[in-house]
Amino acid sequence: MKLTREEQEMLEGKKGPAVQKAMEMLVEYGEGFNAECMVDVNYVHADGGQVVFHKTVDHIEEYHSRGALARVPASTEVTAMDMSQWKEMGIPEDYAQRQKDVDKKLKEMNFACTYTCTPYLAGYIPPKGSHIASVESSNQTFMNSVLGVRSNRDGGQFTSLSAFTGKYPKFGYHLDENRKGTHLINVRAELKDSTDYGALGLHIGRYVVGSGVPVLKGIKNPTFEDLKALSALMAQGAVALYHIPGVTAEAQTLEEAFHGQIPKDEIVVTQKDIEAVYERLKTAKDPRVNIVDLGCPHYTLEEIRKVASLVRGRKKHTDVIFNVWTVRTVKILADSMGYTGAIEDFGGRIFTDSCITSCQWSPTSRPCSNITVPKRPNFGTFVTDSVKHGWGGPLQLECEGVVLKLEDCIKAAITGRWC
Amino acid sequence: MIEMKAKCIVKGYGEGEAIVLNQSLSIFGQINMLTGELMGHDVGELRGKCVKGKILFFTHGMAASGTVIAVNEIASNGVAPAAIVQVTYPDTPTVQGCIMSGIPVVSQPDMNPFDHVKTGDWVEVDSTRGIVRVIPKKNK
Repeated sequence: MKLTREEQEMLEGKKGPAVQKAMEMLVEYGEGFNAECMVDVNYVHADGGQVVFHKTVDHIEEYHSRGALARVPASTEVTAMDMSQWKEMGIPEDYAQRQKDVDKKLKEMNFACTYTCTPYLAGYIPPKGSHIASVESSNQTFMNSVLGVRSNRDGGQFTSLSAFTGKYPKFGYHLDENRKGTHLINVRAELKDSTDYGALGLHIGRYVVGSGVPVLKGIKNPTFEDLKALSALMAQGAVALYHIPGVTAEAQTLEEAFHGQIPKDEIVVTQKDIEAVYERLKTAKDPRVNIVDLGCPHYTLEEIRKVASLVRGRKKHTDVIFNVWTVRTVKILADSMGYTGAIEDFGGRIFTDSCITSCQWSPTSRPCSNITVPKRPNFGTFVTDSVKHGWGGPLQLECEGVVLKLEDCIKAAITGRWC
Repeated sequence: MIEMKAKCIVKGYGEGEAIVLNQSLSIFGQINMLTGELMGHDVGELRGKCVKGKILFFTHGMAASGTVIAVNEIASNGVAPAAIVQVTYPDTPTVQGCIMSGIPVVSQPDMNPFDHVKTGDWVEVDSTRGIVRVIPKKNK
């Protein structure tokens, strides 16, 4: 790889041992993918150090002890508990204390502890064309597509290396030629809400396109939440970038989306394809519901407003757990708007900083030593309005699931039955 | 013995028995992080096989962030494969995890491993030199 003088100095250790080690790994990575040089990143979304994955914490502590600092604005992914409502989550004291230690170290290393899968809801909206490194496939795809930011599919602890150096190898979606459309998709299904957009995303991302760049026509006036859901589910295959001409950042026309070469063939998506997604995710056999879990990816204020309006003045079934997950910036507004109160009066809770599959119930291997991790209860039947959550949740929690529209999720929470 | 040339993605050397999965693999979710066993219905008859110390062949990786966490956890629990051969293309999350955990990776061998390598064959991966040697089980 061709390195600038600054990058060469990093590699030689002139900027300290943490930067040196990070640069060594970034160079090895870049060479593996034939990158010619590095790009400067102007934002990093990094791992949030869950105490249920001891290696993520080891990594943070190792670099903290070497004096590493984030050199560019850097937010963090969900972590293993709500940093203020951990008691309400049933998290033991020693577990919480360990997570707070990690939090302190992340802050000392200049990370903004947003603990969210939707950092754009915490104000991280990099300009179009800028290069970033990001964990969280739904965020990579949202930022690549909706914002026109340039991100590869990065994971886990690796993106922190870009935070410490400000660098990422130039390959993949960082190059113009890899951002042009590969498949023309004609959407002939009626999409009623963001749950449907999620189903469309899973169908295209997982079953139609593979690792290409789909270009969608037939999409009419999607909401912000629709695009959030669509991005999250496109990413469940190997799609990290899609275009909707006139809607997403990089293409006003089909011609622009395909960089001039519009394919002759188009793939048609019908209502049947959308319905097939719901059928595939319906593993629940017992009509009784144990948990209704909303906010995957983290809910916007508008999504929480809808929930509050549906539950106001009603009570959930006593056997049902009712959770809404969001980012703290949104929760502050939900509190002041009275939405949190309405959901709490209903018998549910709004949690932040984590999610049901990232907390103590996460399918972990080895947590940090000397912390108590409660045994996962039998979640029985898991109900959600998110296709992403319906796809991954029951699998990770080892239970059965069903994806319903928001109104039906609320009905299920009230009656204790989903059918 | 069969010798293939392959592209070096993560430098190193590893040898062991082959586990050949002619499909994509999501290391997060399809390998038990504590035991190294392949899991889930999608891995077919290889379900329950342990990847520890083996040479793991698959087409390419799926999923994202969780993959790096999973590779690092698997390695720190001592159940990592000795090397990985990503047959069709290397995917970024798998490679990121392997760089952090020191697992050699090669990709795109010049012969199709699914025609030439079977689970149980002995394989030597010299990633630094881009060489994959296969000693079929019966000749061993």
